[in-house]
Amino acid sequence: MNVLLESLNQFLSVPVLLGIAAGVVVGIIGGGMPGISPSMCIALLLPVSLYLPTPVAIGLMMGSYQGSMFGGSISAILINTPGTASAAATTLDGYQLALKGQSGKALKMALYASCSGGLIGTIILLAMAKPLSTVALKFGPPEYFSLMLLSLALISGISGKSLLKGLISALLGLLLATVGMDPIMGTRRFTFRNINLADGLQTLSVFIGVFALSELLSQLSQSRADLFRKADPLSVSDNELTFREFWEQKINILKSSIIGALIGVLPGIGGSTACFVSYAEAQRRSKHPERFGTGILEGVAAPEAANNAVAGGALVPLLTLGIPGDVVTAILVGALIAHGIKPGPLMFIEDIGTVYTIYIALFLAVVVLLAVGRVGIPVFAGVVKLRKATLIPMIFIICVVGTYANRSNIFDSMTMIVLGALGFILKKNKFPIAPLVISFVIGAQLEMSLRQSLILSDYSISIFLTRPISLVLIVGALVFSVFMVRRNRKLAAQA
Amino acid sequence: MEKKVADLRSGLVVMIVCALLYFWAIPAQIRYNGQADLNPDFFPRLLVICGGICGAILALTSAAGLKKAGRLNVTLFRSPEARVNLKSYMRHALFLASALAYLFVVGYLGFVLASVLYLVFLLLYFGHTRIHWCLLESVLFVAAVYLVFSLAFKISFPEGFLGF
Repeated sequence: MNVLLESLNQFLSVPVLLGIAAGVVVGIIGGGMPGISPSMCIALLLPVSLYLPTPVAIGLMMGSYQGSMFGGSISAILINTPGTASAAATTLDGYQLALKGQSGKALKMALYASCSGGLIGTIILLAMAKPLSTVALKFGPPEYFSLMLLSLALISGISGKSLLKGLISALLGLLLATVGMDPIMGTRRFTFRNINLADGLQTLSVFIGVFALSELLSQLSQSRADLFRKADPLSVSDNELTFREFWEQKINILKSSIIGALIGVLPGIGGSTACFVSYAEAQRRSKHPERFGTGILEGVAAPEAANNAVAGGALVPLLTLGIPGDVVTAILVGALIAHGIKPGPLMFIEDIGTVYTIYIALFLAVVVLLAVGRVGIPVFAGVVKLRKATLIPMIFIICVVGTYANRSNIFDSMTMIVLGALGFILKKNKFPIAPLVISFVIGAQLEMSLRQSLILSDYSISIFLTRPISLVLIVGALVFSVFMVRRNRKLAAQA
Repeated sequence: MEKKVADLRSGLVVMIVCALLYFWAIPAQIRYNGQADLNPDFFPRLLVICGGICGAILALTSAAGLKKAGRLNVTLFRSPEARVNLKSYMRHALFLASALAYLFVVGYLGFVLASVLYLVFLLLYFGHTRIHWCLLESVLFVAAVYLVFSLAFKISFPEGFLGF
C-alpha cells in the first residue's frame, strides 16, 4: 500500500502531469495526421524520454499512446481518412455524421468512447497482470525460449498475409540483434571492425529507421501534387453530445472495450483488428444494424472504445512476460530498458513501484486525454490541414536529431538511414515490419534462453520437449503455424 | 500473377543473401579462438539456415503457382510484370543520397547551418515554390529543435566553423 501511495505521490507533481499532457498533445497531433502511425509518434518521442526522469518519461509515452489512438479519429471524421490504422472503422460512421453537420458530436463521442475504452483497458490490465506474472515466475530458460517462439509465430502469422514473409522478417530482426558483442563469449559479431557497432545496433536507430523513415519513404511514392495538397476538412460543428446520447452507448462501449483489451493481449493483432471486430459486434447486436455506415453514434463509439482499450491489453504480455505484443509496446520496452527497468514477472516482486507507476500513468493519460481533448478538439482539427510536403522534411530532421541525441554520434543517424531504406524495401515487397522490430527487441533474450537451455541439457534439444509448459508452447506455435498456412492457402485460392 | 513473380524474386533474393551470410559474412565477421560446443556463430548460423529454408519455400511455392499457370519459363523475368521500374524509385534514391550527404557535411557546417540549408532544399524539392517562406520556416524550425535539445536536454550538436 505504501508503494502504491508513493507511486501516486510521484504522479501528483507538475512535471509528471505536464509530461503526460505533452504526450497526449503530441499523440493527438501525430495520430491526427494521416501517414503518422502511433508507433512512429512514440518512436520519435523515445529520444526525448531518455532525458526525463522515469515517471515523466513513462507518463509521456503512455500519454502519447492514448492520445495517438484518439487522434486517428479526427482525420477519420473530418476528411474520411483514418489518421491511424486503428481508426479505419471510425470513418464508416464518423464521416457520415460529419457530412450531416454533426462532426462536433462525432468527435466528442470518439473522445468519450476513447477515454472509457482506455479506462476499461487499464482495469483489465490490473486484473490480468498479477495472476499471469505469478505463472510466469515458474518459467525457466526453456519455457522463455518456447514462449518467445510462440509469440514470434503469432506475430509473423498475423501481421502480414504470408506466414513465410513474417518469419523471414522476424529472422532478419533476430539477425540484426546479433550485431555487437556475443552475450556469452564477448566475441564481436558483424561489427565490420567499426567501433560504433561494438555495442550493437542502437535501438533508436532501428525504431526510427524502420518505422519513421521507411514511412516517410513510402509517402514519397505519392506525386508532388499530392504531397503539396492541403486537405479540406469539414468544419467542427458546435453541436453538443448529450449525456443521454453517451449513456445509451454504455453497453456498446463496455463490450467493445473488453473486446479491444482482450485482442490487445494477443501478440501481433493490434488496434485495427480490434476496432473492426468491435464494430462488427456492435452491428450484430444492434436493433437497427441496417443504419450502420449511414452515420450513427454507435458506429463511432464501438471502434474508438476498442482501439484505446488495446493499450491496456497490450501491456499485459509486456509487464508479465517481458515480451512486447505489438510494435508500440516493443518501443516501450526500449524506453523502459533505457531507464533501467527490465519488464517481466520479476518486476512484480522486485520493483512493484514501477508496475504501479505504469498503471497510474496509463490511468492518468486517460484523464488528461479527456481534459485536453475536450478543450482542444477545434485546435487539433486544424492539424489535418498540414501539407505532407512541409511535414516530411521536418519529421526527417527530428529523426536525425532523435538518433543522434542518444550517443551524440552521427553514425547512429547514418545507421537509421540504412535501416529506413531496408524497412522501405521490405514494405514494398509486402514483408511485415512488426515481426522485425519485435524480434529485434527480444533477440538477445531469445538467444540467451536458447543457449542457456542447451547448456542446461548438455546440448540436447529434448529439454524443450520434456518440460510440460515448454512442450505446450512449442506445440501451440506449430499448430498455429499450420493453421496460418492453411488459412493463407484458402485465401489465396479464393483470390 | 505479379505477386507470384514478386514472391519468387523475394525468395531467391533471401536465399542468395542467406548463402552470402553463411559462407562469407559469418566466417569473416565472427572470429573466435578455440572451440566450444556453442560458439558465437552458432545462433547467427541457425538464423541464416532458417532464413534460407523460408526463402527456398517462398520461391518454390511461388514457382509452383507460376508453373500451374504455365508462366514458369526462361522469359519470365523479362516479362513486364517481373520488371522493377527503377525510375519510380529515383525520388527515394535522391532523398536517401541527399540525407547521407547532409549527415556528412553536418560535421563541417555545424548542425544549424547544415539543417537550415538541407530543410530549404527538401521543402523546395517537395513542391514549395516561395523560397523566402521556406527559409523562414526552416530557420524557425531548426532554431526550435536546436534550443529544445541543446538547452533542455544538454545535447551538444556538431558545431562546424560557425560554432553552432
